[in-house]
Amino acid sequence: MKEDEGPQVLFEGVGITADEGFAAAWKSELIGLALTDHRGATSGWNRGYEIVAGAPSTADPGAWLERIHPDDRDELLRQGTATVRGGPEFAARYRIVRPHGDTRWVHAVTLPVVRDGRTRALIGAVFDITDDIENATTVVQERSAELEQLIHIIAHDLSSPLRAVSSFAQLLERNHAGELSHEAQGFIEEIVTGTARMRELLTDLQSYLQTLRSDDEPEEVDLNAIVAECLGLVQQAATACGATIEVADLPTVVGVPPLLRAVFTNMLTNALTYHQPGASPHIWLTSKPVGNRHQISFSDDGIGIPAHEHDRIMRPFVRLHGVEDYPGTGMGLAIVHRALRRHGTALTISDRKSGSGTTLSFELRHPPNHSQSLDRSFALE
Amino acid sequence: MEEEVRILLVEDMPSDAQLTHIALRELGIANHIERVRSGEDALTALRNLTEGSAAFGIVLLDLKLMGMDGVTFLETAKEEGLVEGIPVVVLTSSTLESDRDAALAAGAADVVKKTHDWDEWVRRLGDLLNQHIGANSTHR
Repeated sequence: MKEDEGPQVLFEGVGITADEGFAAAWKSELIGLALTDHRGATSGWNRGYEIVAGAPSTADPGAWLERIHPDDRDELLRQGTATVRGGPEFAARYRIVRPHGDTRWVHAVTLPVVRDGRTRALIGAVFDITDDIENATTVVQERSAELEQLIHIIAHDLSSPLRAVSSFAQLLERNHAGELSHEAQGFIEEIVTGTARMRELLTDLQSYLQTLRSDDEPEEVDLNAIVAECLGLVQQAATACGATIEVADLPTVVGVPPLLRAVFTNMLTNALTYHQPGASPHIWLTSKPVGNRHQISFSDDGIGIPAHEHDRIMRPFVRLHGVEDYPGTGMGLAIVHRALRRHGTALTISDRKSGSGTTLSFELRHPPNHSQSLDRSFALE
Repeated sequence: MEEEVRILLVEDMPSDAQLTHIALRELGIANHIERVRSGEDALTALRNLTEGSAAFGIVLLDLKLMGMDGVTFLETAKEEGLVEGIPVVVLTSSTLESDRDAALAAGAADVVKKTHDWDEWVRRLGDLLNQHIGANSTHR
């Protein structure tokens, strides 16, 4: 690499000037190039840009933002503003809405031109990646259909024969117990117990696979309502073990309701199951804002999870205790983990700060403002 | 039960059909069941009714059948006017809301989950027969 020698020397090395080199790129129809000043006012664009995005309708500061898909504006404006204020170049994928209303996906690189320590202009290079995105979407849709089929097989095809085994065993036990030896009756009990456990496994496997589905669209979700529903589902278990559950006022976030129900139901079920022997569990659910996200924390005073098991416990069907000690399938945190991954966030497991127990935490996005309240120019000065 | 009701049971799985038979026997109505193994056979049974045989009081329909599935059977039967005044109740092992929604959208009078708990299953079956055809169970 001869980077240190500067572009001028490199171009001269092959007998051209830097201006000629840039002019060649500017003439390209395959690379879309646009130039804005530090306020975001577009001062020029090449033919390649027009092909991808259509010609900008006006050079006014911030006018470029009108062309960006509403769902992508906030993030792009945030990154652009950071770059104008001295931040680094950045690459992003977003959607451009062309003058006739059709939408194209682009991969764009935004470069700051800095002089005397100040950003004077931005150069944007855009590449149309719509075809790649559409092909990837087709693959995702095919996988989604296969997943749907698998979920259906678990829900029906595997459940049906299991029900037959369980039902006939119950009929044997109820209607023919007198004709069977004590040992044979014990075998029937084992069949009934085994089928019940298999049913739990299938139900949890189905829940796990449902977290992998990609067709549920995120929406604005009031977590207070979601948690209230989940508390209703575990009320019987909570009453049985005398649990105290403290829930703070929770925010409205962007999420997929069935997945969030799975998250809170499984966390509650875990806390109600893995409590200190002979003690009633105490559970705390709190939240705090972190940037444009909310951090949700779920703590209990239960038996805890050893630090070296924190990663493994998020895998499917991993149990840290025998079924005779604590019931369950080992799918609870795997479902939570996958459901949160679908929200673009990760589950963090840590020891509770005071006393025994565990804190599970994760972040969820605050609903967007759709740029209405955002400054549409970079407004550096 | 107080009056005789003919039941058309559409079920392709022998074990499930037998379990429904036993449950209906426990409810005291085992002598009035005609079982077919497919949606196509069920349509034939219903079409033949127009030639003068006694009508079915209720159709108990499994959703996942060999050949024509339960929802398609239901849509076809509705389209041909074969189940006018006859409640079609879906009995299914499926735990999916989407299956339930599809059955109700196709015109099912009710969707009943086949439970793994035998006593609960008999109770549900008794309740739905009571609700849809007024068959009073003597069971328990």
